Amino acid sequence: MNCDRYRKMLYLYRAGELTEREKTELHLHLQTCERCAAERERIETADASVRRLREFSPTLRDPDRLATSILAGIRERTRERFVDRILDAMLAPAIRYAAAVFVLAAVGSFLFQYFSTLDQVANLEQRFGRGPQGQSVPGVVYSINSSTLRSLPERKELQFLPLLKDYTGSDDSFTITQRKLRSLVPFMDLLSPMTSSLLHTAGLDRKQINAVIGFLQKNASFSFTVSREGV
Amino acid sequence: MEGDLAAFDKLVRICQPYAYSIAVRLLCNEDEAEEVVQQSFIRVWKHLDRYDQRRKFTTWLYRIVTNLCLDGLRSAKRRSRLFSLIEEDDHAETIADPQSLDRMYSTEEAIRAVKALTDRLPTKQKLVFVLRDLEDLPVSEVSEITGLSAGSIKTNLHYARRAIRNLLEREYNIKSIEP
Repeated sequence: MNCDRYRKMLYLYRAGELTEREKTELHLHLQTCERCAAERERIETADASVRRLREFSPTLRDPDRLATSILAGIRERTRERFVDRILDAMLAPAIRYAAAVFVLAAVGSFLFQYFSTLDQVANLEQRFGRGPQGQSVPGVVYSINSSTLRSLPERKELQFLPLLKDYTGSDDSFTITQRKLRSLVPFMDLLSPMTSSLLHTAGLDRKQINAVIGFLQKNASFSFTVSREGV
Repeated sequence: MEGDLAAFDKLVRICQPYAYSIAVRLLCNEDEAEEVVQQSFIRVWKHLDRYDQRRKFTTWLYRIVTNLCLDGLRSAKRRSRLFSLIEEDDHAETIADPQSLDRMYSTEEAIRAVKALTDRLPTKQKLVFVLRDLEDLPVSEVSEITGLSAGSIKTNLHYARRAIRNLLEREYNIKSIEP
C-alpha cells in the first residue's frame, strides 16, 4: 500500500486543511493501515505540546508605553512629512527646470533689452545729443525716466534724431518702438522686491522701504534722452 | 489631525497585543518585537490611504508586521553568519528546557520554547507555522498575509509540523508528555 500520500495528509489535521473527500479517504485508510494509525498518534502527541504554546498568549511588558511611543513616532513623522512635501514640491524636476528657464529667460531678456536699448540710445546721445559745438539742441531732447515710460502710448514709434543730421551731416537715424521702451518697466518692478528684501535686511521699516523704492523707480534708472519725431 | 490621532490611538491599543504576539513569536525577542510593532503602526498610519476597506484591517496589519519581521530575520541571519566566522554558535544556549513546554508561566518561557522549536526551520515554514499553528489563523488569512497559495501553505505546514514532531521526539522525549 502506498502510504506517502496519506502521511502528508496526516500532518494536515486542523480544520480547513483537508477537503471532506480527503478526510473520508484518510479515515478509511487509517482503519486499514496500522503504521499510519500509529503515526497519527505520534503526531497528535506532538501537537499537544504545540497546542500549549498556542494557548499561551505572549503579553506586552508595558502596553501604555508602547502605544505612547507609537503615537509620538507618528507625530514626529507627520511633521517630517509636511516638510518633505514642501521640499518635494519645490524640488520637483518640472518646477526646478521651469524656474531655471524662467530666471534665465528673465535675466537674459533684461540684459539684452537693457544693453541693446541703452547702448543704442547712449550711442546716439554721444553722437547727436549735442550740437556740433557741444551745445544742447533746444526743443528736441526729452528726458525719459520710468514714470514717463509708463505713460507713453504703445504703438507710436519714436524716431530718433532725423533732424540732427543738420548738425552732423550724417544720415544715421535710430527707431525704437515705445513698446520696447515700456518693456523695460516690468524689470524695474521685478527688482523692487529684491531691493525691498535687501532694505528690510538692512533694518529699514516698511514706510522707509516704500519711500526708497519709489525714489529708485522714479529716478534711478532708464533716464536718457531721445528726440521727438518731427521736431 | 489630533482627532484622527485619538481614534488611531484607540485602534493601536486594541490591535497591538495581536501584532505583538505575531512579532514576538517570529522574532523570539521582546525588544525587537516591540520595535516592529511600533514601526508597523507608523507604516499603517502613513499608508492608510492604501488600505482596501473590503479586507480585514487586521489582515493588512499582520501583513505589515510579518514583512517587517522577515526583514528582521534576514538581517539577523546575516549577522549570525558574520559572527559565526569569529565566534562559536550560541545556539545551544537558546534551547528551551523541555519541561517549559509543559508549564508555561511567562512570555519569556514561551518565547524560549518557540525559539527552540522553530529556530532550525526555514523562514517560510516558520512563518506559516507561527501564523497557522500558534496564532491560529485560517489558511485563507495566512494566504493573504504571506502571499502564498493555499497549496504552498499546506506543503510548508506539512514540513514544519514534521520537523517539529521529530525535534520534540528526538531532543525532548516529548512522547512522555501527556496530551
